[in-house]
Amino acid sequence: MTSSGRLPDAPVRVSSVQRFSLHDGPGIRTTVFLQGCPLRCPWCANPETQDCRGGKEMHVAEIMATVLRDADYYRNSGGGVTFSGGEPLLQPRALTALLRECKAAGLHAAVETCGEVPKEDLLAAEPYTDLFLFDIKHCVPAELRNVCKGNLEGILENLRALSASGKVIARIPCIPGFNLDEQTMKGIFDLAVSMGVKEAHLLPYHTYARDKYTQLGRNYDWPGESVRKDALEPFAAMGREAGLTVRIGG
Amino acid sequence: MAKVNIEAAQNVEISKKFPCEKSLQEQLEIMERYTEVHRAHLGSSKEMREAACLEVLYPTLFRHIQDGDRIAGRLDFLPIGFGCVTSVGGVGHYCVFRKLKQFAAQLPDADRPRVDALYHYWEDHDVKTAYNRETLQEDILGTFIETAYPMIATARLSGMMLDYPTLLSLGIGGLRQKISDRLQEDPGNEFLKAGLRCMDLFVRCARHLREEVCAQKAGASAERLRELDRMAESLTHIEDKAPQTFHQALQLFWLYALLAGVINYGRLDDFLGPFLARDLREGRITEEEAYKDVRSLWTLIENRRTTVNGRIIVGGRGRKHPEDADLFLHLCMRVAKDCRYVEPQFTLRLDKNTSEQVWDEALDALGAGATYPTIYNDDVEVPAVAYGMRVDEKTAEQYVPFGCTEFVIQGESTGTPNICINLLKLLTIYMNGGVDPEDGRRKDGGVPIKPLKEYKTFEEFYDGYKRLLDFYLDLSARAQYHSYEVMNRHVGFLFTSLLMKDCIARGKALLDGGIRYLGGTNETYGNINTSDSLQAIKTLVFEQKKYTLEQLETAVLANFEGYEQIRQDCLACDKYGNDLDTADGMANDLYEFVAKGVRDRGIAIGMQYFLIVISNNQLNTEWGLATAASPDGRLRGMYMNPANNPQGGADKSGPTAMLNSLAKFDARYHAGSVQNIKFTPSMFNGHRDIIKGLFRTYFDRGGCHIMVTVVDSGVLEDAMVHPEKYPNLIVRVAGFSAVFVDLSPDIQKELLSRVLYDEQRSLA
Ligand code: SF4
Repeated sequence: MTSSGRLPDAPVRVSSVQRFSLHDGPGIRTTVFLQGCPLRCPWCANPETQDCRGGKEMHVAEIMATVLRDADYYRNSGGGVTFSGGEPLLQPRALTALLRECKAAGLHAAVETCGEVPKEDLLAAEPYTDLFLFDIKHCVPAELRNVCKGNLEGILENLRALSASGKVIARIPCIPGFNLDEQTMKGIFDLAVSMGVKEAHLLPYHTYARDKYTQLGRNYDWPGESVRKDALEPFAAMGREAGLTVRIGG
Repeated sequence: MAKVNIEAAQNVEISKKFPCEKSLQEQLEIMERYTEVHRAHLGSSKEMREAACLEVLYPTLFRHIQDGDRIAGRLDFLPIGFGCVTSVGGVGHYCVFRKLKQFAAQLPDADRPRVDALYHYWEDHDVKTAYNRETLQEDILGTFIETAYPMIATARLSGMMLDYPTLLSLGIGGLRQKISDRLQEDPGNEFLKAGLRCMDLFVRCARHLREEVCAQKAGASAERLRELDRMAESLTHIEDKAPQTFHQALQLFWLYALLAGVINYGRLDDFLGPFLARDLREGRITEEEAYKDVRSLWTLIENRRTTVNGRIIVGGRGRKHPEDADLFLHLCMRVAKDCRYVEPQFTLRLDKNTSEQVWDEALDALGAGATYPTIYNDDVEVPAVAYGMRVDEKTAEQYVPFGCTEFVIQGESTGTPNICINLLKLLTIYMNGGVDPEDGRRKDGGVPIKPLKEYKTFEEFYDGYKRLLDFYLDLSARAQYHSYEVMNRHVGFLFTSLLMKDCIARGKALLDGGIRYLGGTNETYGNINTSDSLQAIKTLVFEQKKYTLEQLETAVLANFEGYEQIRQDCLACDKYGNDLDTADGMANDLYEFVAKGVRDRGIAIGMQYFLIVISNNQLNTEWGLATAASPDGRLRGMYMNPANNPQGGADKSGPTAMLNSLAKFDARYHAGSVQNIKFTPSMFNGHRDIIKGLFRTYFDRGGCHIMVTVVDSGVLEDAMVHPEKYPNLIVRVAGFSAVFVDLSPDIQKELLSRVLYDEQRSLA
């Protein structure tokens, strides 16, 4: 049941709702991919979510109706709902409304964010969020700016503001040719620790999204092969050395 | 009367049978002897005739003891003989004409007339043929497995699971005594007299096997000698006395099952567990020895090659010795995981109290690719069976699945599915004014059908279809009931009857009024294609008004050729398996109409129960080959959906949505419903807790059952191209498992079409 009265009339732009997601937080989850992203990572696995005008319009109640269908599965597996994207905080009012609905229904709610969002929006969402999956893609501002069009300083400020909540897990996409070298990874781990982060997930780079680019009429020009999980073991060890709990995969 | 093709293939045969050990001449002589004895006893009671005929077959048809056998008893069967089911021999006094012809082809010309004489005799005496002649109806009701018909029927007695607890506590001597005592009260009773002959025959067989065992001793290793001695001792012991040891109990159970001709075995954990526990406790056997014994049983069952049978059931409510039973259960789990045979169909019943250890063992075996155990949820099934079969919950606790999934009450009921109905073919016939688009023949049974343009609402349209179903469902109940009448006229199924309640007490064979619960089942096919078709019609014709019924029918009749847009629109309509109220609601409505319709008719005709089973062997594919295109977007000749799973590929919303759809059918109205799911190893084995959470939730929500295949993506595709690389790749077809490369390409394609759940990857 969604609790009426709080639902904003403005529709939410949604890319897709994926049930039985296993890699966006613990347990069995439904991931709601919201439309729009401020960054442009060249390896992005969800390029269709980047454009703010894309996706389809759905109402909060409609999204919640789908989400609630699997509520028992979340409970029995320690799972819940994850809002991902794109960048879910690009639609802050909608996101907060969704999070409040989840809270009211007793569902565990996670937000996956690239961090490139207004701090007040992030903090407004925080009370209704159980877990933030917060991307740290690089430790050198110029690299992030050049490759992903992101502003690392701002992102880190947000991370610092959020990590005090104890709800943050850092997600590190491991991209050969971008950050998958000893020095950069070490830098990322140290950064995470210095921000008060306790846990990090390493996501191995893969090229499964290639077809999506073709469908969108775009080129997929990130070079390189998919990374095997076990190839990340040495980096995971490095992260543990730095004091983090590290897992490979989401 | 319909013309009866007595040479039709009578059942699904995928695993290859072992050739008979006897020479062709010996086989011919046995069949002649059998026929002679049958003829000589035409004037006797059916019970005495049966006993005399069985004495021709046994112990003659026992094969030699094979190296490695730790339990004695392997049987051959011939094109003429006696049986309960089509997968080992035939039904009652049978002649499998097709196989008799193949047999004749191997003989020298001079012997052909001898076979011809047999052929002619059995044309008038084969039980199934007698049934077919009386029951089949031109274009309406065919025999197994003639897929041009919308409904097919047979006479058989499949799925009998005997009262082994009674056998094991009494022993043959005790059973004999029970029969004699009853005979004293009713001295002329032919059934009981014939029952005593069966006991004698059992003893002769045990002695014969003992000799066979002893014959193996020459040159045997010291270890093998010990095994053979133990077998010989057990065979001597069980001639009369109740078993004392695990091995004696196994031997007694096995030999009796063979002689009864049954191919499903029941709750072995509960009735063998106490013997095992005592032997272990008292140091008579080690766990490793017990493991080898169970493994030998597994091999013997596999070697019978009954394709969709061989059920061994463990776990669940209503076990009398749960702790001892669990010892046996754990052994079975190990054996199933190690053997990975297509049979036995190893089955686990569980409920909320099932231990974590049992869950883990089950998931380990499944994760290893065994396709076993298949899992049944007692929290749902027990109350459902109680309602469906009209018995109390204590009785319902003794439900056991057989064949693809259908239930009987162990030792107390019959439940043989002697009818199969193709709901989708009937829809295509209905929409085409009563004529099957496949062959242009009228199959409406005289039910009036209006022209399509006269239907003003969806309800009217649907209602007309239901009237056609009514006609067929009426016929199905009569045909099922009649199969019992015909079989009862000819045979008593003596060994089976003697171990089914209340045959001895009533002094009657099971179909003669002896059985406590006379039940039956009706297999329904194409359920989901039909409901998805109805959903598409409702949406496109009556809600969106995008097409008229005639336009849709024109496209369907053209197999959508030239109407690609219509097909795309049909495919885009809501489909069952996505947890949608629309399509799932339609599926459930149709399900309840058919299931309740069958149940009510069974009760009315005098059966304890007659329930649908949403079963599936490979008939969904074979019947699909003979079924016209349908408004769900399915093309002509394409496989139909398996059991109550979605049409392959129609479920696009992941396993939770698919399972939610599956859980919507109220289990009270069916006697089993096959539910398959397929995972990659990395998904299934890499996320054990998730899988447990998934299954547990599904069960909490009313899911009654699940069958699991774990196979890597790409492997099945590769196996189609390079079968030689995959001789041992086992898959769950539906209600049975098979070596993938033994299946026909059509069936392989249907399996491939089903969604394989893998890990998704994210990288945002
Ligand atoms: S932040 Fe995530 S969604 Fe946005 S472009 Fe990068 S990878 Fe894609």
